[in-house]
Amino acid sequence: MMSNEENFIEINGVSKNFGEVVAVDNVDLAIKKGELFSILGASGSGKTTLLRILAGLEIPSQGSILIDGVDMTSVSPYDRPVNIMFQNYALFPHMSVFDNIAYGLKKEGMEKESIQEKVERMLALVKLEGYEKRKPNQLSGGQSQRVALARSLIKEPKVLLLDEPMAALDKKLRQSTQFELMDIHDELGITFVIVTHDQEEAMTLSDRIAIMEEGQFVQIGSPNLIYENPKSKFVADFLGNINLLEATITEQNDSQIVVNCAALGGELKFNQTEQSDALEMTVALRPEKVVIEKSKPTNDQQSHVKGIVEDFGYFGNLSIYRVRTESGHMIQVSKQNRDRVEQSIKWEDEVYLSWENDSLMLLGE
Amino acid sequence: MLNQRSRFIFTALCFGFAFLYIPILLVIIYSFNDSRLVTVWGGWSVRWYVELFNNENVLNAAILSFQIAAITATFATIMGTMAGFIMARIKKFRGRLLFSGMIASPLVMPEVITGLSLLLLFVSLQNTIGWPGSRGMNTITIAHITFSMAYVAVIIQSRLTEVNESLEEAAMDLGARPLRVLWDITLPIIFPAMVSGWLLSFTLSLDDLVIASFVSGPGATTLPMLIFSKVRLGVSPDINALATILIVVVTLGLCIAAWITSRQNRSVS
Repeated sequence: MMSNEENFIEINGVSKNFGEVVAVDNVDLAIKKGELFSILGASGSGKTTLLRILAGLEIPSQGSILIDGVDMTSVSPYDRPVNIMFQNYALFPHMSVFDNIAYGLKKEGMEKESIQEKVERMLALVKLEGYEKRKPNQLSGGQSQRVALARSLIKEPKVLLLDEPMAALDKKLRQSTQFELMDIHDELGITFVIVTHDQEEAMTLSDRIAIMEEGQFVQIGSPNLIYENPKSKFVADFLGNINLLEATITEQNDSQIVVNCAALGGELKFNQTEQSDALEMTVALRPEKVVIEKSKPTNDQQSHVKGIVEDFGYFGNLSIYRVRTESGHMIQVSKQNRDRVEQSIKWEDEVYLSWENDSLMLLGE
Repeated sequence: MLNQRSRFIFTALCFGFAFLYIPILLVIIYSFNDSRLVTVWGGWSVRWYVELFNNENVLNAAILSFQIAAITATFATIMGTMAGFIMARIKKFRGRLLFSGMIASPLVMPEVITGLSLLLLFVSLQNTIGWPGSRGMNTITIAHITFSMAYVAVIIQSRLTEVNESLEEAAMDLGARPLRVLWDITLPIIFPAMVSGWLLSFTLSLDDLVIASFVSGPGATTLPMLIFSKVRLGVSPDINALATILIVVVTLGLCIAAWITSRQNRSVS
């Protein structure tokens, strides 16, 4: 069957209410086969509810779910070709690592020898050979996470759902685990749906990200697309650091909008065909796209403003400056520390900020 | 300063324990007293134990009490587990508050009231449907199940609320149907709580005097009822022997419960 490579998972108009509270609000989404898809949102945005709907642990109040072309809306969790890895891992405390991983196969009624073989292969995949006899309380956080991953992968589900897979790990471990997770995804070719509140994690892992707020998706796209072309102020602010500067429309026609942005020294032109009803807009500029220098930029074509360094943070690989411009606005700048020299720009220094005009983004509400 | 303070605490602890346990210790020692007078020491002997085992009244009462306690504990554990499960796992249903109130009320109800109301129930049942034909072991057992169940329900509920629901969801996600989940995951995890509940019900039933006195009939005398009636005629030394046996049984039960619970806790936490 030439089935649904593009719409492997199809979420059609799904809503979920808990009493008065609308957790998921009329959501549509299509996820490709083999994709590593992240749903990113703050807590309470409805992302976990959506994941639980995919797992069958919640039944949607409205709408339908299709997986590989089959309607799964009211199929029980034990009959779905989907497995979930819980945030707290939910390892069975009274079973050994082996029995935990083998549980899904035992319920399928698989023969002992094949179970043995499969569990061993899975233990090798998550690099936990030799741990089969341990009980969950004898494992570290990282090891528990691997067991949980192995347990949810052993039935070779069509879709693996991961609820905040890295939340309980410390930062160093999280980074290496992220790459291992990507390797496992590449090796097995299973469709992964990850729910996370950690934007870095979503950016590193995913082919595509959906940003969720108040039960709805505000933007769906590749990490690169969302980062560089956020649709709204909310998305821009949610993903990474950004300067959001007030601006007012002074002129607009079919091809361009002209705004006045005091923080960036006056008039800015944007090639944009979409007209805006509101006059108050936001100009967004990523800190890493601003050049900070002590001397005036030589290129006269480039726009620049003058300011004074108010705060300065040294992170080793980069430095972050907060600069108060002459107009009194605060602009954040990050600078890659390419040279192995002492920081030349310090507190109270007078600096010039410059940027490429196409780094600026004009955003509505 | 610190030393002085800790010495004070230690002394207070010793006094507390002495107050609790010296009477029990005295009962045990005096159960081996050879003298016919309870308060006079007449040398070591096991004659009261021998006498006890030759006393048919005592033996019958003991057998009755242990039978009632075992049946009570078993039924109270089954029903209390069901009630506790519903309280912990079903968040919303009509009459939940009433249900939880009704489960907890036997814990705070004065025994006299429970005993009296059950007696009235049994009498009016007998008048209307002719059952129970006579009051005795059956009515005592029902009465004991009624109040022990509440204790089990509370134990199971508190244990289950500690157990993360995602364990059960994970099992379901891996292909286990709800009954299978109950059997594979939930029951093994709450098993120690069930054992504690069973032992607690057993002890409560073995210990109960008031309710049993209300709902019992002429033929059935439980051990506490027997002891109480004997003591009213004056304390005889064989009571000490009987009390010692009860202490040993109850202590053993509690130790087993503690051992099972700690073993399970080690594997869970």
